[in-house]
Amino acid sequence: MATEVTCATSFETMLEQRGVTRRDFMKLCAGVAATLGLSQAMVPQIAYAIEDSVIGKETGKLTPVIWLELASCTGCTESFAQANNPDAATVVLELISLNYSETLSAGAGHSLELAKEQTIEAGGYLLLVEGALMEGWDGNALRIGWDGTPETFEQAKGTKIVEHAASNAAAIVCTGSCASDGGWQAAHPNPGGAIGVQAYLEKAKANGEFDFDIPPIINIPCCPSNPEHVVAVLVDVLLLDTVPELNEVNAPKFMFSQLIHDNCPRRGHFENGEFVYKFGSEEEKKGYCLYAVGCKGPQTKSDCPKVRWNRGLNWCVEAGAPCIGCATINPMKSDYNWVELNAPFLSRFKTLNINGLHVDPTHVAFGVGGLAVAALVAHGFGMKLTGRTKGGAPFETERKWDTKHPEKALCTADAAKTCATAQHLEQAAEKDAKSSAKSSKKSSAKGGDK
Amino acid sequence: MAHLAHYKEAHPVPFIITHWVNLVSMLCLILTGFYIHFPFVAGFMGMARGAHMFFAFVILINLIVRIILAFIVKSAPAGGTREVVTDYKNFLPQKDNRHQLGAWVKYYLFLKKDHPLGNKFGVPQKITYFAVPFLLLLMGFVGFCLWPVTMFHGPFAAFTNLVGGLMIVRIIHYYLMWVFILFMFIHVYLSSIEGFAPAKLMFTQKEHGGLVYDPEVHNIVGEDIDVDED
Ligand code: HEM
Ligand code: SF4
Ligand code: SF4
Repeated sequence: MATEVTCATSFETMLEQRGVTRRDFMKLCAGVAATLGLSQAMVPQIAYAIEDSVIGKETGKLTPVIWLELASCTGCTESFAQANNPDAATVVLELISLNYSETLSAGAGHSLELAKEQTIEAGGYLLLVEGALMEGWDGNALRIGWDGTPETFEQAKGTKIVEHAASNAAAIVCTGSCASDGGWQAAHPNPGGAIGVQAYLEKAKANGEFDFDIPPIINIPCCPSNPEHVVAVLVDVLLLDTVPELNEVNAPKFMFSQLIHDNCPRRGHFENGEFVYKFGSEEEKKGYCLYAVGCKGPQTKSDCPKVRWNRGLNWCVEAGAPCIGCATINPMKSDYNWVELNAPFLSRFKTLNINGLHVDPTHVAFGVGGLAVAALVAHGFGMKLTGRTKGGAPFETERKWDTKHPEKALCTADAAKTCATAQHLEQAAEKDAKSSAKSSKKSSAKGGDK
Repeated sequence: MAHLAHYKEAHPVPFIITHWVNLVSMLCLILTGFYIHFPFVAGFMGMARGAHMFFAFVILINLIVRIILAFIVKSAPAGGTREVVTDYKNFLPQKDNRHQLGAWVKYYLFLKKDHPLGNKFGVPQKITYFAVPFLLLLMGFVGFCLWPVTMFHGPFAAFTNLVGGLMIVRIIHYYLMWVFILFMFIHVYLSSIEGFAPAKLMFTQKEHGGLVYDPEVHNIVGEDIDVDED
């Protein structure tokens, strides 16, 4: 009993040091449960797991984490740690032993690199990657921490750093769209060769560059990754000891398998056909749907409207900005990063890149359609000129091919003239002419009279 | 009198009905499709989406019904005859169209003066009509990749992932619509440019006299002036 009291107290002290109330902490746990799609009944269990794990710090059982930062804007770290305004989410930092982080680690230089090396050697750590890998210029588009010696020249490439850090990791978490598939850094015309972790590792492995098994990869899309998502995934992986169920792009299914559009508070206006066509308009003031100004909510899979941003304060569409689809990732195809797929952001379609020329798909369609109509009109004049508009040209008496291949002919002109039906028709016509009475509806085709 | 007689055996009543359903659904799909792509006038999105999905189901069910009927109902293989064969045969290669692709293309390009002999459907027409059901099935499949009710499931989700996301699927769906639009332009043009008799027969079963074709002899054998001219 006595120990428990001390532990609880030390946990409370930790919260206090971070300026977090117990209420905030319980709210965080409730948020984690909701984000993971767990029942609210799980909240105490999550709270307990976090407390227990934080206490574990004293017994030295924390999971080591390496947080690598590659080609990134540090937005994912920033939005996660919010260094100038610590809150409940940063409690998660207490769950882990953050052995290496360029932004968050107190240490730097050789000692930090050494800590990373030791962590990799020991294994069993979680590898967090932020930012894209750069393959351009033979991988030299991004180099980190080279000590200047020729022996380490290769190892200082960003791609090799990730490869090395992946070699012994228990799991890899890619925070943000950049680490997932290259993100906006992979967009045209950046020549740096940005690519996501999953694609890079699978390619390198296929090329025989290493032979360890690639650890499970969890992608957390969005630009930047939403801290609520990161916290939920970390709690899931670290404490509940499960990898969340993933969708076809290796992102947690519960967070990234519903359309933004289907949870959007402006959806009523969408159905009513009430749209913002222009910013600064009456419609915008009324909070109408942003579809006509390019909202990508109908094709973007993320729970932004439910989890929201900035600690639940608001999110893009509710704040008045059309969704730009930053949650869209294609881990194996960096050409299909969210920017390439969704720009221009205020337009309904992306532009097509035809040999470097960017064109709107609708222009191509109307162009081709217009040409077709023009061709048909021209053809129509031709038909008129050749006198074909009243029943077409006269029929050939024999198929063209048959005239050239008489031995294989289907029916020669003569055969057609002398066949039984032809005779029958002729007789009927003569009879008609004789009686000079107009026959009633009577067909003379071979099927007989009718 | 250059053209073949138009007898209603060429287009039996069930096909007149499926053709009407196709026409109406296709026009509504295109109109609502354009609207969904960009709501050019305010006020109709819920309706447009509802109608789009309604007519999508109508046209797909109609397609299935039409394919089944093709194996049950008999229709004339050529204009100018009341002889009938099981309908599906008229969409496959037939003796009467042998070696005629070149002739048809030349005819349309004014390189051949006389009208090719042949069956109800000329060679390019046959190829096109044979392709349309597959195009429509593809269109339906792509459409279901965009429908939130189905988009997360099995083959639809797999296809979306394969082509690189819903934006690409939307553009594919949009361009496929243009394939249908171009088909309709050409279809309407070619079926009416030599006179409106074929269209009248297709929409109202109105018959029209003309040359008589004997499918057994594979050639024109005479003329029928008994059917009302107009
Ligand atoms: C045959 C079955 C079809 C199905 C199941 C289907 C389904 C859909 C769905 C679900 C959407 C998206 C609606 C939305 O985002 O709210 C859509 C959009 C659209 N459909 Fe279809 N559709 C079908 C056929 C057609 C046809 C035949 C055409 C025209 C020839 C067509 C033209 C369009 C167009 C232009 C769009 C707008 C695309 C965009 O810009 O996002 N659809 N369709
Ligand atoms: S604002 Fe965007 S996500 Fe919301 S209803 Fe309109 S189109 Fe859908
Ligand atoms: S609403 Fe759209 S743009 Fe905003 S974070 Fe979500 S996916 Fe990105």
